[in-house]
Amino acid sequence: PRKYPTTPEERIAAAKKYGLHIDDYKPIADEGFGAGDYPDLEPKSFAARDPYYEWDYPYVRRNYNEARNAEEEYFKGHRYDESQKPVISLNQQFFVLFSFIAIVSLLRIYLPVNPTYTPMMAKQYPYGNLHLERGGDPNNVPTIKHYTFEPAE
Amino acid sequence: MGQVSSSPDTVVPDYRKDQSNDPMIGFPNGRKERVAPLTQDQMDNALVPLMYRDYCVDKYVALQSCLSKQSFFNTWACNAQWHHLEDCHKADAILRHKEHERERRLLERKRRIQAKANSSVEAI
Repeated sequence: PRKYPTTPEERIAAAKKYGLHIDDYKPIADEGFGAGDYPDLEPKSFAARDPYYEWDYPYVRRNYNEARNAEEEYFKGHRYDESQKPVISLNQQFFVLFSFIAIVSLLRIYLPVNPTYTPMMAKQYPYGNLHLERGGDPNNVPTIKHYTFEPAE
Repeated sequence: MGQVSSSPDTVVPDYRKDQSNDPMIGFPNGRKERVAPLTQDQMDNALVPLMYRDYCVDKYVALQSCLSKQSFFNTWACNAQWHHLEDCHKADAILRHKEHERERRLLERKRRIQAKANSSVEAI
């Protein structure tokens, strides 16, 4: 895109380049965004467009040489889109989410649950449960005996 | 994975402590002892980490010596040693399960004996 249009001739030329009517053409405001003369189209996703109209490209619901929004990547297809009203309002969405989390956490904290455990005894180590290796006192090394389940012959 | 849910009726042996019952109950001929496979000096020379200094260290040391010799590409050279070590660990785990079950049954037995003693005292 060329630089921000200042004169009316530049506006007409830019509108013609992007295929927009001169009254529809509105460049993005020159506030350091750096877009030049790119038009400021409404951020409507392709999924929000009429599915029964005969588009040139029905998969993306767009016509040939139609100008695309500068930030189109954010709302291609099924991505983020603010053009339509949500089914439930944003406040209600947050309420549902946090109420669910709160209820489940309160139940887990305050309702008693029988404890689960793995049915194994502690692991058996030789040499008095590795008394010396763990930095124990060399003077009193405990003698711990471990047994297998085979009878002594 | 292999977890058990306790109800208020079951007796749960405390896995953090050693077993409270005599190890020789139920074995009229006694039990075989577990023999540590290496001495402490041998384990220190082989630089075995603390976690692996259990009753399977000889297989661990054999595996490490094999791994130090294999080349970069033949990763299957020490499969047999891995297999032996894993078998040893599995046997150890099974023994721990058995110990737990034995402990649990002995505690239940104690509870039954006590209940019977209490009920007989009340009957009198």
